[in-house]
Amino acid sequence: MSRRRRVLTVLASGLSLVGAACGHRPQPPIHLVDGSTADEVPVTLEGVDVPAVLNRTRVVDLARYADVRVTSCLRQRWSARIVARAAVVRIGTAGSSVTFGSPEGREIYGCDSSSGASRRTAWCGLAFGRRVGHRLSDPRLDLGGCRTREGHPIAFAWVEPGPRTRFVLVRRPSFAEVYEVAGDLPIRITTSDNVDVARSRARFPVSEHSSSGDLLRRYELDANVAG
Amino acid sequence: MRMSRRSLALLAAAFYLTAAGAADAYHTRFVATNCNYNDPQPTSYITRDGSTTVALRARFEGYQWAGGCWNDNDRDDSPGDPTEDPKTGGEGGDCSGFTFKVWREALSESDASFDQWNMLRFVHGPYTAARFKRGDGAPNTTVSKAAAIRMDAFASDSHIGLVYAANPDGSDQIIEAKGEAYGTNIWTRTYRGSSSYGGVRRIGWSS
Repeated sequence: MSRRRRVLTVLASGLSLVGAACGHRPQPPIHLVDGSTADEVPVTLEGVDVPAVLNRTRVVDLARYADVRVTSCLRQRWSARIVARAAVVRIGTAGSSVTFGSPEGREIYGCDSSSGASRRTAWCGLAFGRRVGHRLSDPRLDLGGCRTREGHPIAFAWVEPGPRTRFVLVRRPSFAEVYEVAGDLPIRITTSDNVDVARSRARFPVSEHSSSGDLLRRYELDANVAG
Repeated sequence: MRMSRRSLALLAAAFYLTAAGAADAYHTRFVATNCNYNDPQPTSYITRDGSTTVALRARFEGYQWAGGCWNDNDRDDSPGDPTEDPKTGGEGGDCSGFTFKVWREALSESDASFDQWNMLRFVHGPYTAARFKRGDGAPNTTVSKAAAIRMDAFASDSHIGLVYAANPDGSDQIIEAKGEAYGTNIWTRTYRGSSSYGGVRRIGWSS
């Protein structure tokens, strides 16, 4: 190979690397905070042009057995006198949560964590809300207590999905986090973006989708710590 | 007569639409006009007397869900705000925002030092009443209700109020941001005897 050709080859390789670096988009997390691999979203979500990462969602029937995560949440953060029939455990990319309601469904309780919500979970946040007309009047934002591994604050808030909604999606910079509707309870969504601790608020770009993935509505939840 | 009825109906419809539109767009300019986001002034101490003075400045002022800014003119400058709406821009703190400010807390939950917030500095802080109740955050701790004294607090899952004075009958005079319809004031309350409430204390009082 002539010297000129070698120089051209090295230059081309260099340019190729630079191009790859310039075109690099951060990869979405494929692992959830408990270390497990995120499942794929079972449908194509209309209007979503970034990779979608599915939260792991589990509905726990507390009348049948005591779930370790829910028990941990109840014992550490809430009084054991609270009686709940069902709870929803969600494991996401930035945090995990437990949500449960009083038997008549008027009061909603939650525990928030930045880790995988295991037996040894340190619940760094909690939330309490009251439903009026079967809907929460406030998303009950929780922030400041939970942090990512990098030290960024994590915000948690509830959304009440519409009647036809099967999936709730929160847009993150390089991906979308998808939550399945479950258990007739509000969905505890999570983000570490757009969290403004100084103003005690967080913004969640949200869209709601039907079971076939159709876009039902899109909005920005602008939540404040309150009450 | 027929025309007159039609005119009345149109007038009523116009009035209804105007009123509905006004309700949807309700907001005051109190926060936008009066409040700031200036840095707090760090201080090396906190006293119960000093915090009582800070709390009393908020007395007779308004209540704002998620709020934390008020003046000291002894009236609610944004009365009748829609409830539980953080966007109404009205005067006052809510119960937890009021407590945060009176207790000179820092925005970082791991920081127990003292930040003096001007009353016109809009700040709420990261804590809800439920989190105060559990003593969340470095500056806060739970305390037995029997031991709670002036400027300690009683908190439930949805409300928090500061002890102003204990009454001989076991009730307390509580200074609190109570709600849109009430504003911020002192009321006789029985939180100390209520199983829904727990005692909370800001740590580090000098006196």
